[in-house]
Amino acid sequence: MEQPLKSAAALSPAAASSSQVSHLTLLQQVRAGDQQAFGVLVSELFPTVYRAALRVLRQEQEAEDVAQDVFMKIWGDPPELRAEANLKAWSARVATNGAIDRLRKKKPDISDDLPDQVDPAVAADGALQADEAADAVQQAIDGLPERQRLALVLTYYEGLPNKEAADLLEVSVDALESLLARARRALKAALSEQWQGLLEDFAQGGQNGEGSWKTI
Amino acid sequence: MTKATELGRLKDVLDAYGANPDNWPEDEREQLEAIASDHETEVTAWVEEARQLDAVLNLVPEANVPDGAVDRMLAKVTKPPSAPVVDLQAARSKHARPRGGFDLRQAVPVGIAMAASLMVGVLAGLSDLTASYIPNTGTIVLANAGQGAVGDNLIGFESFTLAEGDLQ
Repeated sequence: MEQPLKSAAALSPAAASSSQVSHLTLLQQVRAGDQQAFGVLVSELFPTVYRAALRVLRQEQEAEDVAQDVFMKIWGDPPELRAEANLKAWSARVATNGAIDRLRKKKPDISDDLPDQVDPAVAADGALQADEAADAVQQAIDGLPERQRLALVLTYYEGLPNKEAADLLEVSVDALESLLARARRALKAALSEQWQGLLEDFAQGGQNGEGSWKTI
Repeated sequence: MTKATELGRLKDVLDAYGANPDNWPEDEREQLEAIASDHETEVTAWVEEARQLDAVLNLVPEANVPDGAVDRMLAKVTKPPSAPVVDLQAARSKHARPRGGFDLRQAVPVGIAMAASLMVGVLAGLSDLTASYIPNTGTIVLANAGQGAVGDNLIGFESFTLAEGDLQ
């Protein structure tokens, strides 16, 4: 009788240790119909996939739907990846692509016609919550014109190569760089009043930065 | 490439991708790092500005994964294909004959057809009668009963009727 499927967190220690096995090995097991291996894979990849979709779509339920599509694909038709391939990166890209497609269906005219400034309503709301540095920055990003926001999300947060991000947005690399530069300028302008406070927050080890920069 | 062009490109890259060379276009990275190093004094302010913005962007936390999302996902994705849903009660009422062997729904069209035949016969007989009373106008014509005639849809063929004035 087939055992109920469990996530990695719910697996026995022995089974959980299999999460150390490489993703590609797990993928081979999934290809052979091993549901347990699939459970481990989902547990390990889900946060990456979900966050990639959420960054683009900004709606939890839709991000879950995109993640479901990604794992449906992995389960139903496991990708043939080369030995050196990174399944985590692959699944994040598939999620990002799926999220962009979904966004495009909702907003066929993802436009960048808006002026280079953050949505005033969002900025005002952000100003009210200036004590929450992360919220202020997130809201400023959310207030960017859609293509500027997506350019920033794809290159800065998702780390896509510029050519790949440009392809996803259906623009040239030059246009992508223009979107990025405008996005960054707009963010700085929107957050100008809180700027020093934000930098201090970062210096104290806020969120992802851990208070350090890579130097060039 | 002139110095101005090199510095201009470095400025554009810093403005677009930030201060971390890992985020710069791969095919230009090495050259741009060398330019930044060669012209450190001139580019310090640009780099610092880009770093500050990177720092602010890094304040955004990773989103939390909703509770139970992984288990919901596993349940949905690996759910075996469901068998076609059959509404047994509906199927039974649609196909089964009523007890007693008499199916009213089958009897209705038969009855209508019989009634139509009867009507044709009556009209044919009537034509003989009227012909005897009104010799010069006693022609029965076959005419469409027209839209909305009650019998059209039920009987499924054209109704017989009398031409206007035939029975006057």
